[in-house]
Amino acid sequence: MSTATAAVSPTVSASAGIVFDNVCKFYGEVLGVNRVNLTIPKGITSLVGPNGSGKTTLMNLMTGLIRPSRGRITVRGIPTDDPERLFAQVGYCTQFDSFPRGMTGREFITAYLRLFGRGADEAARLAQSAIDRVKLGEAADRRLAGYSKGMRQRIRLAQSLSHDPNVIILDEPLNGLDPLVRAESIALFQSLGAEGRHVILSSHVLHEVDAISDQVIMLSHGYVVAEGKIQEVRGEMREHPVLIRVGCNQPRRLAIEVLRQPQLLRAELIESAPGVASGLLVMTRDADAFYLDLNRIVASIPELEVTSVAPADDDAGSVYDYLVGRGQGAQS
Amino acid sequence: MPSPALAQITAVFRLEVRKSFFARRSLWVYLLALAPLLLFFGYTVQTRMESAQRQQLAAQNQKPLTAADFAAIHRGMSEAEVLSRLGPPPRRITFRQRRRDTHDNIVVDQNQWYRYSDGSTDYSIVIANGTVGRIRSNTAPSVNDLETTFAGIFQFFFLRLAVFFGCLGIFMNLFRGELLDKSLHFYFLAPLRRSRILAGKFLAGLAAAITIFCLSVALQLFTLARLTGNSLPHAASYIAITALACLGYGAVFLAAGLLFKNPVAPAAALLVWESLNPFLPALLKKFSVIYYLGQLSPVSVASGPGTSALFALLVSTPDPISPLAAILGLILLTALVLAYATRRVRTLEIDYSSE
Ligand SMILES: Nc1ncnc2c1ncn2[C@@H]1O[C@H](COP(=O)(O)OP(=O)(O)O)[C@@H](O)[C@H]1O
Ligand SMILES: [Mg+2]
Repeated sequence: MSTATAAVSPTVSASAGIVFDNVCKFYGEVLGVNRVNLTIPKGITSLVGPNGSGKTTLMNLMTGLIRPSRGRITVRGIPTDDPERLFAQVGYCTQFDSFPRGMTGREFITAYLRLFGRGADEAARLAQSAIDRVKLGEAADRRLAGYSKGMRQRIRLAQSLSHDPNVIILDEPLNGLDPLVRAESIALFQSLGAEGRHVILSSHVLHEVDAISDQVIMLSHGYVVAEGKIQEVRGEMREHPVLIRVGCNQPRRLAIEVLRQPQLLRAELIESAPGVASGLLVMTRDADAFYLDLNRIVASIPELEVTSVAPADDDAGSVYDYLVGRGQGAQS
Repeated sequence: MPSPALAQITAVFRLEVRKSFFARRSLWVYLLALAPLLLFFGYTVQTRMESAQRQQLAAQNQKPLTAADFAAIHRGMSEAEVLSRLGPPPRRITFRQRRRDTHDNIVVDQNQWYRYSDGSTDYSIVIANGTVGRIRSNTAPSVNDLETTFAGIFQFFFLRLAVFFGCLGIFMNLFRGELLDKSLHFYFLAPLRRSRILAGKFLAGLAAAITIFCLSVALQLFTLARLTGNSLPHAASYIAITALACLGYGAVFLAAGLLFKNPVAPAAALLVWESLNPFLPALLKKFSVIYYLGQLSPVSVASGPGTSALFALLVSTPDPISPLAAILGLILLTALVLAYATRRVRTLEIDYSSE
């Protein structure tokens, strides 16, 4: 688990960054994210992973919208259950495409600025500058109900920036934007990053964000599988993780054995019926080493019978090829 | 540092108050508030018509009649005697009645129905076969009757149903409505304690509920006064009790809105709980809003003659406490419920997906 525990940049002091300390989040039985240890420094950081990999979960955890099942998160030293201090620093543009009813874009931004304790004049001024920043123009005085998807995305972005936060968290901010708006948004994120803020964005396509990211965090199935500067991550991706399905009569026993391997990212029981495990699903960085070790384990434990071994699907491999742009002729 | 807290609560209040008054989800609250007004309007129109009829009848008597004249009429008296005492009836209705005689033959009687009035009470006297049969009288409602009628409707319809469901509509949607609209996270992403969001929302709901329902009571009393010419006493008490009801039910439904996604089950459970209050042991009674409101009722609904035993039991207050104690008790109950709701909202997670 070497990569999952290493800080993205060792020079960041804990109080200046966003720190995840052994964080797990379960939605009932469903895993959101597991064993996340991260320190996110200033600049633009991208969370990258396919749908369901845990990007939104990490962002909701950073902002206290959900609470970790285990572990602790601090943002610039502030615990996430202290909204009064947290949101003086943090702005979060969520993935929820919804608004309070019956307002214009400008009213929407101004109303919530009043919650920040700003007076009417100051709120109006800040709202105007946020509207200018996302180039919404006079559409700001129309009713939100009549906005196009792109306009809704921009007004939400403006709202999350309106109080001038130091930490800006944006969930899939480039999703569904036309090329022109996309280029404008990217320029905006870069200028925010250059101003010395934390800018954290998520995307399910790496090549969409790699050019602008100072660092990338790769997620898969709720685990951080790689992180660091984009060149480092690309290096790690060469030995991208694979999923292997092993059918056997004693999956729990096998799990204990294989978890000793350093390359193993995770192992999970496959249940044929509730409580009845019929096999093991493992994710490893090194398939060859895993097969070798599996042979050794089977040989040393006579009562363990392995009935099948096969790559679970091309999921992990193809996803990472896709993510890093291999096979698409993108940058390498 | 009371001032930033106040400023933040005010900001939440300002955002919420319009929603509380005009939420599409709770426009039916106005119908609830309007219903008793229509009821009293209908009631007074009917009493007025009846009283006009009585006056008209009384004016047509051959000589002025008093209650004493009618008291002298009794069953079995001859028709001639009635006529000599009361004069010819202003209204006379002839009707036929079939009956079987002793030989089991069907005979048809020609009966008369005499109607008189002394101005405040009207009498109908049935004359069958030349003698007096049944006598019925109908007296115009007195101020006293009006008071008990109002108190009864206030207790049973207004507090227990109109204010109850009105507060459900207003307060249960404070958080639940924003979860359904997926807009609660905007509050949770602002730098204010969640207890202040709750306070601002509760106050906004309270402003709406108190305005709507206290105005309704005031208009009810006003309508009754205008139409009957008798103004009812205790108007201030009724309005104050209504405000306290909004406070208590408001807190309860605010908390329920944080606990349940679907309002039907908690509403039904609370309605049953509140109705069962008279049958509960003393300690449990105190965890009910209606218990305190019942103690404050300025008019005893059960005191009049002719109230049924069940009705009397339903409104009885077997262990009366002083009004001050009742008010303090209700405020304490409200505070407890709000404290619980605050704890819930502090740990509330934004999860719109499971709606
Ligand atoms: N509210 C929820 N209830 C149950 N499961 C959830 C909920 N939110 C997310 N999940 C699960 O958690 C995992 C991570 O989801 P999410 O963080 O939304 O991923 P991403 O944003 O990368 O698409 C997924 O398996 C998803 O199904
Ligand atoms: Mg997501």
